Amino acid sequence: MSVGAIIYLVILLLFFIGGFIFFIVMDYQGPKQMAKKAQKKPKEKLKKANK
Amino acid sequence: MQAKSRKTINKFGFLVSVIGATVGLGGIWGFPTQVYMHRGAYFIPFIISLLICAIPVLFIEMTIGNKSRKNHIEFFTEVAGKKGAFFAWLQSSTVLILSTYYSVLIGWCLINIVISFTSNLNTTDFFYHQILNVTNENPTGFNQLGTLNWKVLLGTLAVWGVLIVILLGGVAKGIDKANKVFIPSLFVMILFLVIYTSTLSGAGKGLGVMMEFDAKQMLKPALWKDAFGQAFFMMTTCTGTIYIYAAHAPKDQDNTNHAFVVGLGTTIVGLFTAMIIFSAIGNIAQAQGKEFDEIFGKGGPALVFQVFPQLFAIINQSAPGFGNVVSVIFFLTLFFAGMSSLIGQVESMVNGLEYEVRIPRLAALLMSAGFAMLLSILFTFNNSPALITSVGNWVAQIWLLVLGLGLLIGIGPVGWKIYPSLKEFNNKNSWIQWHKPFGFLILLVAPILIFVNVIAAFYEIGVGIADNAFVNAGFGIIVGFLIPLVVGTILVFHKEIANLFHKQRK
Repeated sequence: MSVGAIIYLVILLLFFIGGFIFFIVMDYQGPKQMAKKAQKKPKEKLKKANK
Repeated sequence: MQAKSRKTINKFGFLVSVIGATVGLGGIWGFPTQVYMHRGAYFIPFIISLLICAIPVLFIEMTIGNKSRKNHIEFFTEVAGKKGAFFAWLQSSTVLILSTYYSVLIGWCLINIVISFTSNLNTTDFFYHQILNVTNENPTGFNQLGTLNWKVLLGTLAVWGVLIVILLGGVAKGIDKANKVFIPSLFVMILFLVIYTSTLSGAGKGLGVMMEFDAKQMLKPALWKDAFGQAFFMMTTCTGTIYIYAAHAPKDQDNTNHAFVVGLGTTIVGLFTAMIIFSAIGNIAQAQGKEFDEIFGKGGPALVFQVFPQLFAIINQSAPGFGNVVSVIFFLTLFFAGMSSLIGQVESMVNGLEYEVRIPRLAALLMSAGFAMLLSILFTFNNSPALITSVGNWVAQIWLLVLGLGLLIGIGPVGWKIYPSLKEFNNKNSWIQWHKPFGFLILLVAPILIFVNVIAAFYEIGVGIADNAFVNAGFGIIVGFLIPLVVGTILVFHKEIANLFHKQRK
């Protein structure tokens, strides 16, 4: 197996496995981020209104 | 009319059900077969088609099903009347045709499970020559299909029997329970085999062949249409299946994120299976002192079923009997993964008949499964593998792409009304927001790419007709193209047809 083939295979594996793990983590972290954003928005609106 | 209420499955149940439908034989059978044909050049067009077209179509379908709580037929009939109904029924009838040869492949799994209990596991290509008993790889007429293969026929009929029993339980009960056990088992089994095969002598050479990159290949239309067709086929998009599962899922779930989990997870299984196959062939080639391509030639629909039994025989050489055990577990998990896909395919038609035509579930199931089972007998002759490729080309590379194009263009005109509400629904529940560039991507770039690939697919079929008119034109057009069209049309106009009979009786 040539070096080029190994690099190509490793990139493919990293892309798919890394992507899969990332989206699995975000499946749990995503709703938390959404909740944080939703909390921030009213505060920002209030700040703008006060200005 | 008020739709019947649907039971809800939880997030994990939804994910394993969809992954079950996508990974089934699409990931384990279809993907490695295509990698074998095109080698390293295949991955780039596949990634493009997966990320730009197949996954976006997948999350649009999930979002529609999840938001509307309706199956594809109810939804498209409501938003676009008869045109929408035609589009939706066409999806169900296309996927029902797909199930006709899929059931045969799952029947091959059953045969392999039986073989695993015998001493027939050996390093010769016995599945192709002794079980399938193929005598003519390129039949040019029905008279050249050979005789009915009783082993394959019995396996196929058993598959339909199991399917009817599972589907009688309904989506929430049957599929959910089966998938929660078998999909995680399949992941573990594939992981074990990829680690094991990579340690075999000759595996490195096999993997080297898999990653061979020939830049000239990138200019061939066959490579692109195969990659696009496979991406849609593997994601089970444009078949109605996804809408049904999503209609049963929790309503606040992140559909866009789930689509990426399903897309990448399924591709990992496909990639690992391809690695297992290339490593095993590398080992067999070294043991027999032959070149890599001398072992299985150009490949074909039976490739996966030819390689794995030989791999298990290799395992037996170092640990007698262990290969048989691994073989039973592997083909059993593959059987259930395949069943998950088949269940989704048939449920697409059954669900439509049950909720839209208002036929009792049992009758809808027997009608759909009975029709598909009768057609599946055509694929149980000795020389039928060529017909599987032919119908597969029409279904996966033309119909699914055309239906995908219809969905993306359709949510344009129908959907300057639909798209904003889908976007709003997604942006409320997903951390991945659909901004303007996303709309540009799925409403313009993706349809153009799919359209170009449909043209490429027609061009390739045209080239194939010169090679074998029976397989590529006659049989392929009748079973792969006309039957879905006729069945879809009849179902769209079922009320008018029923009224016509009613009037005639009076």
